Amino acid sequence: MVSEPEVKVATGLTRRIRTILSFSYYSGILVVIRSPGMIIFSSTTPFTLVFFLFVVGGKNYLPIGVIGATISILVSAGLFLGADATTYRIQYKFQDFCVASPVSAVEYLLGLGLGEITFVAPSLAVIIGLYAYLGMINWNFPLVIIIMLFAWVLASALGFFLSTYILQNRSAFTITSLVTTLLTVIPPVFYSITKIPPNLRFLAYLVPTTHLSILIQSMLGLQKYSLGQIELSWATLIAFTVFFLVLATYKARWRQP
Amino acid sequence: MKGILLEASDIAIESVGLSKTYGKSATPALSDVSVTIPRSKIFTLLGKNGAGKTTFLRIAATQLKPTSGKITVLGFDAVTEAGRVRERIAAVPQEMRPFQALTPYDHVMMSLTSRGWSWKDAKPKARRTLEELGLGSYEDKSTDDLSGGLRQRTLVAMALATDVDLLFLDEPTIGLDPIARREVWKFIVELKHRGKTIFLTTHYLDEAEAISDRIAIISKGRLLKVGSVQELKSSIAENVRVDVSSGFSEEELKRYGKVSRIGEILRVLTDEKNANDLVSLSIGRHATVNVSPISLDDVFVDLLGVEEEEKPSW
Repeated sequence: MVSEPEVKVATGLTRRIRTILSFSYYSGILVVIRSPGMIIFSSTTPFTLVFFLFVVGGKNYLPIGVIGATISILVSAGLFLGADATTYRIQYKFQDFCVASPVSAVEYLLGLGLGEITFVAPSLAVIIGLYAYLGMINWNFPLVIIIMLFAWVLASALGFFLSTYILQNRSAFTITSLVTTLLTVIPPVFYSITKIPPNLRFLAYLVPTTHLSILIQSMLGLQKYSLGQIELSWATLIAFTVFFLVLATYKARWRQP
Repeated sequence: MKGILLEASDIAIESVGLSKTYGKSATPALSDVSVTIPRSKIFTLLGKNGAGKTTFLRIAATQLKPTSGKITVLGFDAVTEAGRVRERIAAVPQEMRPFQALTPYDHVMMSLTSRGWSWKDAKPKARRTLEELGLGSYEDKSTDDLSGGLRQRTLVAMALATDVDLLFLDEPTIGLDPIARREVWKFIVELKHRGKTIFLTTHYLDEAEAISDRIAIISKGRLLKVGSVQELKSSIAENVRVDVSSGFSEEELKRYGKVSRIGEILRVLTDEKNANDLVSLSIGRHATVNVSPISLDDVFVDLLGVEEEEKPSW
C-alpha cells in the first residue's frame, strides 16, 4: 500500500451540491445511458391518457390533456422516487449506507429526485414540443416552468416521505401507483375543474395537483379563473410544497427509531 | 462490562447502559451494554444470529436510535451530535447489495463524490482502492456479472475508500472465498496501521482471531466478555483442548474436563495435568489423540453454553 496524496474533501454547500449531483448521476443519468429502455416505461401512462382524450374529445381537448400529462409525468417521477427509495432502503440497504455518512435526507431526496427526472426528460421534451405545436407557449411560460418545479419537488418530497414508512418492498410499487392515481387521474388534472359540480369542488381543492392544473391552464390562457382563485391556488401549492418538504426533512425515517 | 481504562482521546466508542427494544417487543435486542472501544484498533463484536451485534453497530453508526443509555463515537454523542459523527465514519450494512447497472468503479466513485470528493480526486482514489482489494480487473464490469464475493468486496471498497477515522463493517467477509477474505483482512489491518479504527461484526471466529485487537462476545443482547484474544482464552479455567477420536465413551471423559461431541470426535477442554493423563491413557488404548491450546472457538462455545444454561430461551 503506497502513501496517498492529501485530498481536501469539500464541506458546506459545495459538498451538498456534489452529493446531489453524484446521486442524480449514478441513480439516473448513468442508468438511462446504460438501459435506455427504462425511459419508455416511465412515459407510457401520461401519453396513453392524452391519446385517449384526443380520441374521445378531439383536437380541442388536446391542450388540457397535454397539461395533464405534464403534471402526471412530474408527479409520477416524484412518486416513483418513493418506490425506488423503498427498494434502495429495504433491498439494497443503501439508505443505511448513506445515513452513516454526511449525506442528509434532503440531499438524498434531491439527488434521487433529479435522477428520476432523467427517466422522464425525453417525455418532457415531447411535451414541450407539443406545447409549441399547439401554440401554447406564451410570455407566461417561465411561470409554467416554475409550477412544474413545484410539482416535481412536492411529489418527490411526498414520495420519499412515504418510502421511509413502507415496510415491504413489494408494497412500494402498489402504494406509489395508488397515490399517483389519486393525485393525477381522479382530480381535475386531465380535465377542467368546471366539470365538477360546484358543491363537490371543495374535495378537488384539497388535492395539490388540482392547483397545479388550475395555474398552468390559467397561465396558458386555456381557462379563465378569478384573481382570488389564482391567488388561492398559488398559496395552496406553496403551502403543500413546504408541508411535504418539512415532512421529508423532519418526519421521514432517515435514522430508524 | 468495561474493557480497559483509556484516556478520552484514545477512545473511539464508549457506551454506557445502552439498551434497545424494538417496538413493543418484550425482549430487548440490546440490554445495558457498557463497553469502551479504543482508537486505531480492530474491534470485533462476536455473537450468534440475533445476539444484538447489528443492533449495537447500527446505534453506534447513527443508523438507529437507542431506547436508553448513552453512546459516544469519536468524542461525540451518537444521538444528539449525529452529524459530527457521520462526517468521521463509514458503514457497510449487513446484506447490502450493489446496484445492478453500475460497476465497482461507479460504486466507489458514488461513495466518494457523495461525501464531497471532487471527481478529479475521486477517480485515482477509486481505482487505487479497487486495485488494493483485488478488484482492479473487474472495475468496469457490471456488478450483475460479478460473483457474490466480488460484489461483497465492491461494497467494502465503497467504505474503505472514504479515508474516514472509523469504519463499521457488518459481516464484511460473508460469502467471500478464503483468498478474498484474506485480501479484505490484509486491507483492514493496513487501515489500522494508518491509524483508522475498525469495528467489525462477524460470525467467523477465525476472522476475529486473525485480525482483532479486542473482541467482545455478545449473546441475547448482553455483553458476556471483552478482551484481547489472549485475555479471552485465559478467561476460562481450561487451557488445553484434547480431541479423541476413538476408544472412550463421553461419560468416561467427563472426569477429565468439559466434553463435547463434534462428529466422530470427542473434544475435552481441560487443564495441562488432566491433558497429560488423558494422553497417556489414550496411548495405552491405541486411541488417536490430538492436543492443542484452546482456540477462540472453544471460548465462544464455552461462554455461550454457560449462558444457555443460565437463561433458557423459551
